[in-house]
Amino acid sequence: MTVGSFSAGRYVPLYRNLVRREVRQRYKGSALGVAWTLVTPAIMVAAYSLVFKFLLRIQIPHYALFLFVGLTVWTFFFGGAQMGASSLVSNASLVTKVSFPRQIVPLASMTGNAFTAGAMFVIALPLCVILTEGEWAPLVMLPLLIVLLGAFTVGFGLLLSAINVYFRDVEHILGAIGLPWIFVTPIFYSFSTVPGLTGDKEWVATVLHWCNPIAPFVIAIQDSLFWGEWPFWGDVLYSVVAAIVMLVVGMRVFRRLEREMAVEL
Amino acid sequence: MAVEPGRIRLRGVSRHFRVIHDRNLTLKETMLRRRRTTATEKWALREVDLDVEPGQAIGIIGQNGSGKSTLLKMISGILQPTEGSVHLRGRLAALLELGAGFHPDLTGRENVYLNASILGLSKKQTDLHFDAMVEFSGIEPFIDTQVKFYSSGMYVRLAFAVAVHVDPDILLVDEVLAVGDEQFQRKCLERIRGFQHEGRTIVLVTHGLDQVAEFCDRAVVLEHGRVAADGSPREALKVLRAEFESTRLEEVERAVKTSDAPIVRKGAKFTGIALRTDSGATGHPSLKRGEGLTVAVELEATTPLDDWDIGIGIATPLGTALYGTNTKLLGVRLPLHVGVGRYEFHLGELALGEGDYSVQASLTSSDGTEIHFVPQAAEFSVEGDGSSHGALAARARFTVV
Repeated sequence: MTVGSFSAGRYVPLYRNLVRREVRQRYKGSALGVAWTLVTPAIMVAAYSLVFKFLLRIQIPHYALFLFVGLTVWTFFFGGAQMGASSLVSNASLVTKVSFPRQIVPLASMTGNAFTAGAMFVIALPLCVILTEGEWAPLVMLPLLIVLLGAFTVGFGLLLSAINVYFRDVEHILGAIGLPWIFVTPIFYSFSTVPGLTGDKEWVATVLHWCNPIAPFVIAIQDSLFWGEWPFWGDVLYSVVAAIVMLVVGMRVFRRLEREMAVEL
Repeated sequence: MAVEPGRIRLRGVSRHFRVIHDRNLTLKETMLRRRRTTATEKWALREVDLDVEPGQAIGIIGQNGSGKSTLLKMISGILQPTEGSVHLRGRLAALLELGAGFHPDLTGRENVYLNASILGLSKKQTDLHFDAMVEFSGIEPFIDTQVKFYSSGMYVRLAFAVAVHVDPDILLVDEVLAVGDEQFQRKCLERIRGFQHEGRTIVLVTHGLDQVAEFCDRAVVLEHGRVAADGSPREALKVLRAEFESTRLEEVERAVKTSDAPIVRKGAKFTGIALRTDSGATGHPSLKRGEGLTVAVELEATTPLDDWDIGIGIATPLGTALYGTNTKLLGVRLPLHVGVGRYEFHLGELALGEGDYSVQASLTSSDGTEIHFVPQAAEFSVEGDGSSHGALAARARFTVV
């Protein structure tokens, strides 16, 4: 079954325009505009630093920066998942009226979100290089880790976007689990610096580390970017496997559910 | 399968829908009452075979719910067939909805680029056509204004301007021609006609039967998802009109069954309306070109009718009024009347084109209030010689000067 002449290149301009629309509509009409990309995380960093560093006494040097690195990863992943999940429903008029590969819609939404995370990364990278004491060599792992994180996020976003067409609950579930999820992920703390996770409670740290698919990504990126250490091979391997599995599952499910999307929206 | 650009080939295409009553929209609902929803199975299209040659302009017509839009969505690839196959080649532009993807916060200019890329144009190609698009739309001064400030007319103009400049091999048009003011509509139709001359394939879904007769060299009638007729627009329109007629009769029958109170205010009503041609045919007569028609009405008044008028009219099967007259307009003053009375209108030399027509009759007081109105009191048809289409007939001649 073929419909029209398909060539991926034909849809590049559409993808680009949708990304542009995504970015513009987010900041159009706001006084600070694109600056919000950094104002929001800055406020978060300030507030969480106050709570975790000064009130709860987490012992991490350059705590604000540590937090910022973790938030960058989280913004990329979770923001992408959220944008992706709602993308098809909010672009229903496009999906039901025009024929094109539907993947473009969640991809464009996630790319739009990646600009936010990208801006944070651009700030985080030089600060980490200048301020922290670790080595520079582990930074070479970053491109690989970013690609893996990207693949994992895209897979997850495609999966959620397709399911959300049939069960609109996905958006709400995601909104509800966002806050608990970020707290069990080592973003505000690292497993080794939290008093509750040492000694005979170490198994809790192991569970939190390996049962939370995003945790190894976060830890590996913190290692190479913030700590200036080579990431633990287990984290990297986990990331590779998780990224591939998630991408394949996401694409498969999307392709299966794609056929009837125009009917359900 | 090799298909040349502009060719569309459908083989045994069927499309099935499950119409779910009280649909599950949430996970919770699904889990709680999984088996308790009822679904009606419906075939929107059934075994449709269709071959459209490159350069053909084909009209798809049918009553509401006959599967026209589903067919178009199938061709454009928005929906997949449940059974059968769809093959086509070439760039396809589907005008299923104008301005799909327009974003209110973006300016006209930005939306032109976005919309063009949705229809498959690269930035370079859009650059090339941009000026032509803006000029066609006629909204140059507002091109850098956000679309949310546009009037609906401006919106539609810009959307159409983009759509007709995408240079497609196949153009699918669904009911979008009824947009904009008359002058802009004409411009759009001319543009589509230009496409036709350039040998592009056009598939037009419409309720405007005149448009089909005017634009298409072929028409397909869909009835309950099946192809009921496929051929010249003239033949197809005849089939469709017959279909409309049978649907209408069913509805009339149902209306008669459900309501036993016709519109009667004063104690007077029509008791019979009959037609007779000049050559003496009655019942559902067939009128020859130029022949006259007599409309005989019989009415019964139980209370005295004072200051009253009788009117008759002629309409198309679609209900468009073509002609109407009444005793007041004819300068006749009807006398006071009680009991049964018979009256006749004679319409000489009806200049009607081929097709079916209906006659309506009304009884009014001279102040205009309606006493009794019969919308489709009788029918007749007009035979044509095939030299024209439309409801109006004329003695046409052609000379080279």
